[in-house]
This record gives sequence, C-alpha cells and structure tokens, in this order.
Amino acid sequence: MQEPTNQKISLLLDDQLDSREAIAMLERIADDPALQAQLWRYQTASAAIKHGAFAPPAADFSRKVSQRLAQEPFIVSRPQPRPAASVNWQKAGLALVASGLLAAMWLNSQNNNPRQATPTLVYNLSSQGSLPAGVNPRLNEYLLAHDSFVFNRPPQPAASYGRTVHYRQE
Amino acid sequence: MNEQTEVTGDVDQELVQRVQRGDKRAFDLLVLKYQHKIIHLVNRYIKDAAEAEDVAQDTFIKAYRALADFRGESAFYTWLYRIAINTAKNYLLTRARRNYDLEVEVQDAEQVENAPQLKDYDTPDGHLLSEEIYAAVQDTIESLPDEMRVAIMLREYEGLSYEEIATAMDCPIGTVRSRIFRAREAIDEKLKPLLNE
Repeated sequence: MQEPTNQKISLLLDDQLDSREAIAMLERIADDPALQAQLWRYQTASAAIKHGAFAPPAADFSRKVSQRLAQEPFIVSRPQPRPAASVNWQKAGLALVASGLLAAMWLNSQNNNPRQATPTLVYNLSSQGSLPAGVNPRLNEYLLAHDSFVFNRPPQPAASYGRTVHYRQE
Repeated sequence: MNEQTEVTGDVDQELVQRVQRGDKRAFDLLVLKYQHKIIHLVNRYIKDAAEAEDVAQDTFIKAYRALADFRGESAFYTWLYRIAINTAKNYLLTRARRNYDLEVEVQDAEQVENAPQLKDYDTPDGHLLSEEIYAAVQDTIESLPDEMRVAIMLREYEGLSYEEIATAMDCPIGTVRSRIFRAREAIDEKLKPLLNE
C-alpha cells in the first residue's frame, strides 16, 4: 500500500494532482510523520538534482515552524478596500449636460402649461345656504360626507367652515 | 502558463484562503510544500545551515503574519520568495552591524577568538552532508536505466511537464509517471541511510 502513496507524493511534487487531491495528500502527509519524512527525502533529492550540493532543512523543520505558529494569534483577513472607480470624465460631462437640458425643458413645460392641482373650497351647506356657482354639488357632498371632522364636531353656527383639498377632475 | 502552474496556483490559493479564514493548519501545508525551496533560496544569502534554517523559519512566520493582507495580486510563492529574500538580507545587515559593534568591544578585551559572531559559520559537517547527498543522487542517476534517467532529468533539470516529457520520449503519460516515480524510489533507497542518521 506504500507504493501508491509514494507515487502520489511524487505526483504532488510535480504538481500532477488536481487541487483537491493535492490538498488531501498534503493533509495526509501533515498527519503522518512517515509520509513527512518521505516527502522531505523526495524534496531533498529533487533539490540536489536541480541545484547540486546544498544543505537540506532539518527533517523536523516543518514541525518547528508549526510549533512557532501555534504561539501566533489566529489571523483574520481584513476587508479589502474597493478599487478606486475610474471616472470617465467625458461620460460624466455628457450626463451632466443632458440632465441640465432635461431640467430646463421640464421647467419650460411647467411655465407653458398652467395645469396645476387647484385648491378647492369645500363649502359647509349647514352654515352656508347655497353653493357658489361653479362648485360641483356632488363632489362637495362627497367631500363633506367623508370628512369625519365636520360631523363629529357640534355645529358652530357662527363660524363658516371651509377647507382646502386637492382633487382631480371627475 | 502551463497546467502545472495553474494547479499550484489553485492549491496555494485555496490554502491561503483557508488560512485567512483562521485555519492555521492550512499554513502547515504550505510550509510542507515550500520548505526546501525557501531553505535553498535563503542558503544563497546565508551559507550556515543552522542560520539559514532560522531565517527560513522567520520567513514563514512573517509570511503567516502578513497573510491577512495578501490579496493574491501575485502568486503566493512569488510573494513568499520576496519575504524570504528580504528576511535574509535584513538578517545579514543586522549581523554585520552586530559584528561591527562586537568588534569594537572585543578589540579592547583582546577576545577575538572567543567571539562566536566573528567565526565562520559554514560548518564542515553541513558541507559534508550536502556533498554526500549530491554524490549519492548523482551516482544513482548514473546507474538508472536510460528511460528512467532521461525522464527524471527532463523533469528535474529541464523542468518539463509530464505531457512534454511524454511527447519528447514518445510514450504515454502514464509511462512517464511511472518512470519518474521509479527513478525517485531508486534515489530514495540510496538517500535513506544518509538522511536517517
């Protein structure tokens, strides 16, 4: 069973395992001192072929680093600052001009078209005998009927009552 | 960019992200993967094996501390190499400064011979071992059958991928895999007695 494992270590060394397999293999090695020694010897041989004579790290090098690492606090990645958005000044200028133009057109149309929400007087017939000309009686009734304020209060004969509302034409 | 580089990048990226999420163990895996490369790099600056190892350890610890700010703009190993070079250079600067201070002090006391900082650190033992390792590897390679020797040399010396070796040797990729592995096993047999002392 050792040979397939060693072969996998050999493949790991040459980046021939896919990332999932490679990480799984590294985890196995980290858990097993015998596999660590195997990897270390393969790495030493590989370095000797590539670079000639050189002093390999101690066999327990990774363990020593791991021990030092145990004394380090856990790190938490800091949120990365957003990359500065590049401003396309030409587009921004065009957008500004276009919005100014639209605003001017809108203002102009408002001046030429006097259609506005007209404030309307609602007449209280109990205090005022008849409606003035031009007031729609049905609408006036409707508005009065739906104004609880008018009906809940005791009649005040002396005070003529009116209120201002907005409405749309029927 | 070849497939191997991509796989390495994926593995490193995955491990780095795990460390950044608070998984210290993932960093141990990166240490396992890069220990020899970092030691070799540091050795170019610092000849003494023990010192080089300390600096390599410091490199990994510094990398761990800085990993929160690592954004993957460069490959992890490129970033790690940069840390290793800076750590080695800083170490040499500090040592040179310390040696200078010490030299001034010991000149008065006439204790130059006893000052360890002024001795040559390149230990004969370390040299001997590395020479022995190199000789054992070379001897084994020379004694390998041709197809195994060529496969391992193309891989290690030339840095060819398995696909490229298969093309060069006109054989299936599985055969390349097997030849390289068997060559490594043969070298390993020779190294075991040397390295397990």
